[in-house]
Amino acid sequence: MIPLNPYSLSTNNYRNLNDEDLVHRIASKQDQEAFGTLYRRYAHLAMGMCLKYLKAAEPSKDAVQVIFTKLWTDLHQYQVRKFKPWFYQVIKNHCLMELRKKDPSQKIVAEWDMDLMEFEDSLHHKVNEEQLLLYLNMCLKSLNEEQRSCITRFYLDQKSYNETAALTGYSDKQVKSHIQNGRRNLRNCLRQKTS
Amino acid sequence: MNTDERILQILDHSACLSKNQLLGYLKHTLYPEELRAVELHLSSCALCNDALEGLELQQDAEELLASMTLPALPALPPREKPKEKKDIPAAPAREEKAAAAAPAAKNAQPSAEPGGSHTLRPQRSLARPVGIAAALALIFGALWYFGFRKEHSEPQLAEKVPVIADSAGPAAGNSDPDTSHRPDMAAAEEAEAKAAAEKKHKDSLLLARKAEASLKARLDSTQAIAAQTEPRPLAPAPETASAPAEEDAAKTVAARKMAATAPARDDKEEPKKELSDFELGMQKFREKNYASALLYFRSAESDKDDPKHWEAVYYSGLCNRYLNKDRRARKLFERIVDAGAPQKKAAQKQLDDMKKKKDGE
Repeated sequence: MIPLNPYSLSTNNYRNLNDEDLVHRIASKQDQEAFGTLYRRYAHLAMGMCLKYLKAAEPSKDAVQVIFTKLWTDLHQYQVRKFKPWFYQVIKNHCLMELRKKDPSQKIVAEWDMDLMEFEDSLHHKVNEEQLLLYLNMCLKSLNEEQRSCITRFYLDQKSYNETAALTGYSDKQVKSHIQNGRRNLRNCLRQKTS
Repeated sequence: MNTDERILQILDHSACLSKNQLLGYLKHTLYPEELRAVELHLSSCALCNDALEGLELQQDAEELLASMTLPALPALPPREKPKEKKDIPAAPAREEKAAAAAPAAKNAQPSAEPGGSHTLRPQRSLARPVGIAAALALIFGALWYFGFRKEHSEPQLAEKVPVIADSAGPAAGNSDPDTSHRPDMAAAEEAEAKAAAEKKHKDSLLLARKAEASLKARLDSTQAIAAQTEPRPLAPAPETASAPAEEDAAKTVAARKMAATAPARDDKEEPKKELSDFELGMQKFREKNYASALLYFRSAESDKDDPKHWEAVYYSGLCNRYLNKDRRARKLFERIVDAGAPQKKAAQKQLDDMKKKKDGE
């Protein structure tokens, strides 16, 4: 239960704030309403992620509580430029740490795989739309057959995952994986072209 | 949607999935449009993808998510004051009552927190005694003010009568003869009043000041009555004032007194008046604190009847631009241009600048 903060904005104003503004308010003003808004945005996603790694409900619940409490107490120590990739990494690191606590012999490698968004953000500033389209088309052609067909069906033909799976003959999971890997390759390709 | 727009969707990234979207996707209850939006987001967001994977493993995902509660937030040690200390929405402070109640509320909050040995804002501990002292000072001030005025209003009136009688002399040229006894009465009253005034003068400094004020009032009334009688020819003999003239003069003096006290009260109250959202926004804007300014401008622009509505929209646009939120800025400027607001030219210029900048890149 969050006590009312006399300095809080109205609920609507908080809903309109982006993640980074909320983080700023939490870090600089210890704004509980901002924290509540951020919690409502990401708690269920954090829970899902913890479930993926920890596989059980109770430890996951505890992990989410610990993560958000840390967010409240330690956020001012970090300079969070983009909240989402940072938060993703925080959850992942916490879960991997929990797993290591359970079984120290287990070797788990943490990877940073959320740089995509930051890259995409800056990409729009670097090149104009026509150039971007040109590069995208070129990069699309350079993808392997599976990735290209899945990406074409999903983005250009606007098919759903299920439809793409039915059309290409891959399973749903394979389609997802091809799309994600295809996007990653496209991103790398674009990065090379724009740099 | 053409092919180009579709292909650019590969680079799009939207807000993360809400709880309902996530559960709807898991239970296959989403409408096709929403399903498309969710799948597009999933294709670009590792966080939502992982969350979905995790929740797919769980049979009772819905109950589990429903059972989640916000963690009890520990009280934090006071940090250095942030720069935007005054970045408080003006709304709660607007009403004086709310402002008066605020110190108590501020003080009560930290104590309500479990285990909170330190307060979120350290100066709040002083707020209650200061508030009480201020309230007491106001009450005593009000008592003194009204009590004092009541006590001294009668002698003042008594003092005014002879003044009026004196100064109204020239005005009485055409007055009726029944009032001819008045000079004697007025003279007697004046003598009494003067004696009383002199006595008081000796009594205390405060009363001396009051006597000065009464002298000033005399001068005022003399001038007032002289002004009233100016057009008339001067009477040869020093006649007495007529009854209506006396009343008028007394009213004038009273009105002047009121007028003199009223602005003084207004002056005291004016500095307390709160700044509007727009003004606060401008303040922040000048400090180059665009994020805070934006909040105020958004609040200011919410009222469409406000004469500063379009100005607020324009400044919102500027803030967004300085915060590198070009899309939002563009939308706001376009709104101004479309509506034909007074800021139309400036908005168009901003739009052109943004376009040039974009093309330049």
